[in-house]
Amino acid sequence: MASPAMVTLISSDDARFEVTEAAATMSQTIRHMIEDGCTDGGIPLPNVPARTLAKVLEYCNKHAAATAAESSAAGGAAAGSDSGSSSSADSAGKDDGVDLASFDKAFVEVDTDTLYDLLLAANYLDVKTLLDLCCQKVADMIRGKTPEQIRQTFGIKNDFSPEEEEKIRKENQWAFE
Amino acid sequence: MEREGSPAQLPTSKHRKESSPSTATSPVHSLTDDVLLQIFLRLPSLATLVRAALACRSWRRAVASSPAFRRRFRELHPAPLLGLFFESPSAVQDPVLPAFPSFVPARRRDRDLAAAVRGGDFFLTSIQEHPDKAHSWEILDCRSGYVLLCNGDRLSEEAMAVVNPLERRSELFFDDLHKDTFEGYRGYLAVRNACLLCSDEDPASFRVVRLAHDESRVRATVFFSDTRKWKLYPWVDVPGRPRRSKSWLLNSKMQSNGFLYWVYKNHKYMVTLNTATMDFSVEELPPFLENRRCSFDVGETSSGTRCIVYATNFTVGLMLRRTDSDGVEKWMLDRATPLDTQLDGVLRKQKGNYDELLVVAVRDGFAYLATSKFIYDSQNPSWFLSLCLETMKLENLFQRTYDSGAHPSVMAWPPCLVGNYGRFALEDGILFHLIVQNSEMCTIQGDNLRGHEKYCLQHIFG
Repeated sequence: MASPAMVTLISSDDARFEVTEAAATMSQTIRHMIEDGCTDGGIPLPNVPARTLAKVLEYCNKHAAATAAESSAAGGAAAGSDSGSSSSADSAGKDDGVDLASFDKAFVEVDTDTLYDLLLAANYLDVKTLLDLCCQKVADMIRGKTPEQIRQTFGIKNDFSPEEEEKIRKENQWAFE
Repeated sequence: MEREGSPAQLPTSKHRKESSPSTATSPVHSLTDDVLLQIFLRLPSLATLVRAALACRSWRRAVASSPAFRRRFRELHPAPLLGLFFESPSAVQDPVLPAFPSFVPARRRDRDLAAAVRGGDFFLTSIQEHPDKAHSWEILDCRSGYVLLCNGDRLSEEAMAVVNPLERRSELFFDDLHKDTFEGYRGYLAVRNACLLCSDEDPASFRVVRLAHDESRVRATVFFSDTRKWKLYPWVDVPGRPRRSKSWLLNSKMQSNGFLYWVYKNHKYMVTLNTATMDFSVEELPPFLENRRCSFDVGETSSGTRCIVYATNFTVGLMLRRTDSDGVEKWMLDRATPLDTQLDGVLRKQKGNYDELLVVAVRDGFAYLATSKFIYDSQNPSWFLSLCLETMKLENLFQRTYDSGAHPSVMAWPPCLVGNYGRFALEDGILFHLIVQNSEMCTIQGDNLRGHEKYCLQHIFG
């Protein structure tokens, strides 16, 4: 194979990352920057620190590689790379799909701070599947919990007054049984 | 390929440090409302969202301040059916004879919905306590969690009531009708059933609309919960009244998206009232709806588009507003789906007892149907089913005699998750404005602000 086109990304704290264009352009934000030709000397990403960018790129590399493998295996047949949230790997139906799903699952098994960083970065960089994955992870952490348990999970301070909380609870008794 | 940065030496993201000068701000608050709402969209149900929104003020505010989010959430999570209210089998006529609507729960295997039915006053016990009213109540409409009833003893004051069974002790009693409704009529006068108008974006208030007609005109009278007063609108001429019929307009409970509909007794025309502008219009009923064997109701698809759902035999059809080749907007057939096979699966051998489906009601992307026989027999109970208009998938609900009108009760959007809510409205309004002030780049989109928020902003900042 010919060596793939590479781009350089620069984190907010000036760390430089060299990645394939295929991986980098999973980010729509970076794709637009490349299309606009502002890649000379690297692409600055002032909102993303290196620690987070490294993690995002781990995700992009894995998914870009899987997509490449899939399209070459399928002889260029268009793969359904649409929105599917946590189980985005339903096409092709090979080990790759299973592999990717378990990669995704493990990928978001991180502490909440890292998860927030990933969410903000995925939102800023506009990596839709990663944003979906992280949002779904947080939603899964919320479901089945009482407000107090949600606060504990995410380290939230209850800033409602007792009267306010009581009023909301009373009006929505059914949701708090 | 990539050159890893050295995580150990890196500071945690700057913005977080800056935004947490005190212990009050948790890292979770670094998430923007935009991201937060994308997370909330993925919650499995309205109950989960209510619990999440009660975690802290900023989470509640994120939900409460975004009508677009609420619209999207409802699209993804259709308002769940709690059950059906049934009118009394015989019309409430004598105030001496007790009559109350009955409620049959949908009994879905959902913990939160079961809790709602268990905790709510679906027996409408709160109105039976009224000291001066006859024990005789008729249900007229059920919308957005509210139930509209009128009392059998209509000669006394406060003959109507609106109750929200989930908000216990929330009943409101008011006069049956503005007496000036009769003023200026020609020939004779008839008053049709009242309809309840609610808005998910303003859950604390409602309107009740009654239609009166004389020999050739219609007029609307509207009760506003905010002012607790009836307002009278002028008589409007409408075409096509059948010659010999005095009572030429049928009672109706049809509405969708703020439009109310009444069908002519001869099934040739339909009167539409746009309650946003209070304009009436009349158009011909689509030809095959003229067939009296065909039952139909007007409602909304899951995305909120106005639609008519009709049933003939075991086929259910969907009509939408479309523009025809002459540029005229009218009801046009979108699709008709035979449900024979699905009914075989859902009702098994019982299907053989029935000849047709009737449309009971249409709400929020679902049609509620009842099985029936061509030769009606009130002793033969019907199966009540719900039909998802998007997937055309049937679900069996319960069996009951279908001897009177039925009104689906669906879970309404909780008032605490809408901007205009008690003291939060003001407080969060100020907070919102301070954020705006601090960010010169931010533009306020006036249309996105609710009236109350606008008022708050004007009031505070002149």
